[in-house]
This record gives sequence, structure tokens and C-alpha cells, in this order.
Amino acid sequence: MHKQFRRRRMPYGFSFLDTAASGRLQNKIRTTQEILIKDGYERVMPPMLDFPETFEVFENFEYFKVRDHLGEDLSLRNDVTVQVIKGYINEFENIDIKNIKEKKLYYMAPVFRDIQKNYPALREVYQAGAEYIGCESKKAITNLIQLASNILKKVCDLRYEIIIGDIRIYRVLSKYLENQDLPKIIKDKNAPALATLFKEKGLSDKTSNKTSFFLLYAEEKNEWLKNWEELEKNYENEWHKNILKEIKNISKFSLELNDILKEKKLPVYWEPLLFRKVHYYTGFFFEGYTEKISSPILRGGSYDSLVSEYSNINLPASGFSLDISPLIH
Amino acid sequence: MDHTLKIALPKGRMSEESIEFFYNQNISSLKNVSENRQLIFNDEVKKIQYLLIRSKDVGTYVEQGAADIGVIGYDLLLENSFDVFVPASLPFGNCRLSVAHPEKFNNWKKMKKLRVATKYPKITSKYFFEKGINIQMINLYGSIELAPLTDISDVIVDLVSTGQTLKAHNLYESDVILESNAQIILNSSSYVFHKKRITNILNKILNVSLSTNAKNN
Repeated sequence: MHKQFRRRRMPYGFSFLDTAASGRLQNKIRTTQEILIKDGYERVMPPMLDFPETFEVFENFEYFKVRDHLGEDLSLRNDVTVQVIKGYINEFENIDIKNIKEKKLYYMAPVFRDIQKNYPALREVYQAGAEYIGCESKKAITNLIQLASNILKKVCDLRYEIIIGDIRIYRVLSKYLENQDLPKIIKDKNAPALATLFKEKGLSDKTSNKTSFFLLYAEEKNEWLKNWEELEKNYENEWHKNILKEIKNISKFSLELNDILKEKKLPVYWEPLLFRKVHYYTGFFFEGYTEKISSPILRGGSYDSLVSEYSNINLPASGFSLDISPLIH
Repeated sequence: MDHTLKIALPKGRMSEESIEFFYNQNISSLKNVSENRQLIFNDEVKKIQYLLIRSKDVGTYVEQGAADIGVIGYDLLLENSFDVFVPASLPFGNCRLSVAHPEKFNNWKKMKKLRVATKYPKITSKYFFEKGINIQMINLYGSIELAPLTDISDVIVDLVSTGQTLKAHNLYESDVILESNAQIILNSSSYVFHKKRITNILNKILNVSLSTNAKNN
């Protein structure tokens, strides 16, 4: 690249925010912060640089690597959750687990992602995040979705919707299908490709198409349950019978959560099969979309084994991150 | 049904087949593609706006949210990795991506340095890599059949429908890399905000494929 160009311009995916954009960002941050503090969240500030291993919870790491003067690899953070949990656990070393109570933490910080795309995308994203540690997942997720919805109502001028699901349904499918392309197929909601995997397990074209479609493009709860029960009645082999039963059993948890959130009149809907390329989710999972922005700006869920990964303490944890930068552009 | 749904179609035969299919499934009230060469035309009854664009651009239009829905060949979907949802296959646009060669290169699998001309570099390199064949890729944008005739390449990888074009250029189809057909793609945000309407359309498409399955079984 021409030296003059590099001297005068910002790198692709990074923006210099002018006074107006900075003001808009500052307003949204302030509003978000007020809501989080009111709900009992306390601020933490993780470092911008950390060991790359911290961020290997992503399938494609998408992080910027830097090297210090001694040749040690470091990385610009692309996810704050792991840093918060890691930091929180370090605080609690040598403390009796019985003394650990619920903890609500929040952060406001930019994350950096080396996104490989063939069109401009933000590589520096200002994020607000909430981590609810020590609370069982259903209660925590209800609280977090309510909280995220309150924030979105205030900081987002566009309509928004939150989709909820359960990563365990994906795990069941993964166990039964054992296919390395499955993450991409589910991420793309690729119904024809998923149907092909069912066909490989001996199901008819018709049943494969139906099973795949009902998993990826679910209708309202009752309609979905009706369709699923019909599939169960007409199962085609033992393998099919077992997978249908297991998925239905697990879907009860997220369907129940969906009912609770609907009662609270939150703009949510349920999808049986959600998957994102972050490994630490263990159960409920949600994402929020706004109109005119193609990718989700809100991502969250429960990660009940993350605390124990950094300690011998077994504590449930849940949280979300909200991308604020796309809302000011 | 306030929102006008934007559907991106690839210019040419696939757009005609798409409109006819949507009309037959009562998704659209238009029977034909606009005859006055307009690239944007509206179905006022069903509140749909059609965008006629280059086949390669359909994925980008849908990915970027300029269109809610698109129709695209499976070959292009696989080659370009667009960030879109893929809910259904459509019963048209059937063709295959194949290796074709002139008669003198019958033994292309044994050649030490194979020159391959294609407009599908990603699929092609993956295919030959998995076969353990070293290739030199020649990226072209069209008229691929000319490459072996002008000695730019030894073989080509291109879409084959009837095989007439290959025959006309004295080329022989050998390995089929993949079978392709038309696919529906969705912008993820559009799906979230117009779920009911889009699911309704998808259900109509699913029913067609289920009835096709029933006939085939």
C-alpha cells in the first residue's frame, strides 16, 4: 500500500469518530451505564491486551496478534466475557465457595476483530456487556434479556427483536449427526444441506426435508410442537425416534423460558436451533437484531462451566454483550 | 403486510423460472418478468419488488440487506460464502459443475502440472487439492470453453447444463464436481423482522418439495 495513503488514512474497518459521532456514542454509553448501575451491576475494566489463549474460545479466532519486545505473543481482546470471568476468579482464589454470592458486573470497552470479509466491516466495535455470576441460568437469562431489552429501547432508534434458543439442542444434533460441516450448516440455516445429512442416516427425502425445516425455521410454539409430534408419530428408524425425543426433551427448557419472557411482553421469539462460533455457551442462548443491520448486535447466554475452567469453583454464569458502534453509524 | 418484500433475481433464464414458480405457488401475482427491460419491477398485489441483477451479485444484495430474499445457484453460493440464510432448494436451475477436457488431454489426472481455467477458483482448488492433483489455476470471468482451444489451459471447470456448448467446442465432460440448482437465500435481519410472511412463503416452497419427494418415492 502507498506510504502516503497509509499516513493519511485509517486502516480498513477502523473509524475516526468526529465530534457528532463521538457525542452519539457517549450518549448511548451513558444511557446504557445508567440502566446497568440501576440494576445493581458494577463496572470492571479488563485490559485491552491479553494472552491469545484467552480468546481461543472462538472457532475462528479473529483476533489481532501483536508481539512485545521480548517476542511474547499478545492479542487485542476480541471478547470481554472470558477476561471478566478470569479476572473475577483471580479475585476469589483461596476464598471459601460458601462465601461467594451472586455478582453482577458490567464493562464498556471496544473489542477488536480481524474480520476476514470482502467488504468493509467494523473491526473495532464499542461494546457494553453484563455478566451475572452465581445465579442459576433461567433466572439470570430472564433478568439479562429484560435488561438488554430496556437498554435497546433507550439506545436503539430502530425496531429490535430478540431470538432465544438453547445450545444443547445443537449439541444433541451434533452428537447424532457427527458431521464437521454442521456448525456452518446451522449458522447459515441451510435447510437443504441439513436435510442431506438426515438422508445419509437413512431417512426418506420427505422426512429429512421436514425435520430439517422444522428445526431451522420454526413457527410459533404450538405449531412447532404439533409438527414435531407428528414427526415423532411417524418416525422412520430407531435413530430418528431417539433424536426426535431428545430434542423435544431439551426444547422444553427454552420453550418455558420463552413463555416467561412473552408474559413480560418482551419482543422475543423462540428458535430451536441456534449456533454461534463461541464454545463457552452451555445452555440458553440469545441474540438481538435491529432493522437494517444484517448481523446480530446483541449476543448472550449461559456459560455454566466457564468459572470452573479457571478455578476449582463451580458457579453458574450468564451474560450478554451489546455492540454499540453499529448504532451510531 | 405493509413492508414491500424485495426479491433479488439473477438476470436471464433463472429469473423467468423464478417468477413462474412464485406465480404457480401463489407467492407472486406476476406471471412474467418485465418485458420493458426494467431492472426493478413491482408486484403491487403481493407487495413484492423484484430486482434483476447479475447472478454473482444476488448474494451480496441479500447479505447487505438491499434485498430480503434472493434466488441464486448453489454453485455461486458455495463459491462465495455469503453471510445469508439458506432455507430451501428450488425445483429448477439444475446443472452440474464439471471438469471438461479436449480429447488430447484424456489423461489429465496423470499430468504433472495441470492448468485449469475456471470462474470457480475456490471450489476448483478444493476439489483438486482433495484429489492430490497439483494445478495451476487460470481465473477467467466467462467463455471458459475457449481456454483449452487457445492453449491458456489444459482443462476447464465450468457449469454444464445440456452439454451442447462443450460439444460445440470439442470438449469432453469427465468428473462432476457438484450438482447445482437454484436456492432461496434470506437476509438474516429480514427473516427476523418479517418472520411470519417469510415463513409463509417458505412453507409454500417446502410443500412443493414435499410433493416432489412423494412423487419420487
